[in-house]
Amino acid sequence: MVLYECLWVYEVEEFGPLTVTIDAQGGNLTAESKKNIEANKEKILKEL
Amino acid sequence: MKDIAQVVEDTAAKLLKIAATILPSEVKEALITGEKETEGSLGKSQLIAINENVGLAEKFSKPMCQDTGLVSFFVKIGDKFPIRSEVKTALIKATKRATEDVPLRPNAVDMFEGNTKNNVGIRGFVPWFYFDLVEGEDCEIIALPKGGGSSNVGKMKMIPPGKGIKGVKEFVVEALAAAGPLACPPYAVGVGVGGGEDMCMNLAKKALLRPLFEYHEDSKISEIEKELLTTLNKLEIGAMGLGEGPSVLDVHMEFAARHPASLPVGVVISCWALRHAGATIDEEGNVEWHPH
Ligand code: SF4
Repeated sequence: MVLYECLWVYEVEEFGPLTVTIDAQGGNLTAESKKNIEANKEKILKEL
Repeated sequence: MKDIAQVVEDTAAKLLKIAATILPSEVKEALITGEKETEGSLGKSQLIAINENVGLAEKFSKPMCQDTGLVSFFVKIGDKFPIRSEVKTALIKATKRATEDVPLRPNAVDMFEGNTKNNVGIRGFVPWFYFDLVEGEDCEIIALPKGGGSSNVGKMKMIPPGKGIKGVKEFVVEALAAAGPLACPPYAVGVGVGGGEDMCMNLAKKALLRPLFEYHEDSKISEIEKELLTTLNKLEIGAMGLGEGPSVLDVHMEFAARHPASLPVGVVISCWALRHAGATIDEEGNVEWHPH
């Protein structure tokens, strides 16, 4: 079952450019960013 | 003689409009500097979009984001200001009015009865008031309609007092790492230390009201604020969490005394849409708008 928080239908002109954060090939910029943040956090905590 | 309650209502309604539609100038400048200094195209594109959006919101007097926040007011009432509890009534009226006029998104949801549609809770408490009694004849009102997304990443912890200031710093780093890309960065961070479990959060929220780049008057504290600003940017959260550009625009801290057995730390995070606006009303009803 898919639960939508909300769903909008837009009619738009001159939309974009857009950044695709999650694509259909398994790419996920948010997940990558979170991983990087976690690694940086560990480094920072050691140096505090 | 002006109707003071009416002046309070009109002023507060306008403050909510200013807060929702115009970013404080130092926040605008920080975001523009962020755009200029960001090299990666991913981060830069986010900041360009944010800055363009901020400009359009101001030009057309429309909210800068679809979320216009949960309304709260920080109020200081002078001993000789002509009204007291009526201030509260006027602020509630102002909230309802601004919801229609700006318009603000109806953001007060009752657990059982649903959205009240006017930003005022049916059981009291919303809008939330922070009242302070001060000397003099003025009444200072600051509106802080804080976004839900960035409130969701706020955190408080009672850390073991033995951990001291290092423990405070660790917790702030952990809170920001957990917020990561979730709450529309670049962030402004408010940290409250001491008091009780409620007071540290109140102080953290209050810290957000201090203009960016205005540091604590106690140099012991301002040094930690600046150190944390540098440290938190090493997390590389980046604009809208994409790893490029500024993660945190500024960090402000407020300290209260604490119980010997506890060290409460509150972290309140604001998204780039750091909405607040203030004004001072004198006993005759003249309004002085705070620099914005
Ligand atoms: S976190 Fe801020 S910018 Fe993001 S949706 Fe909420 S109010 Fe808007």
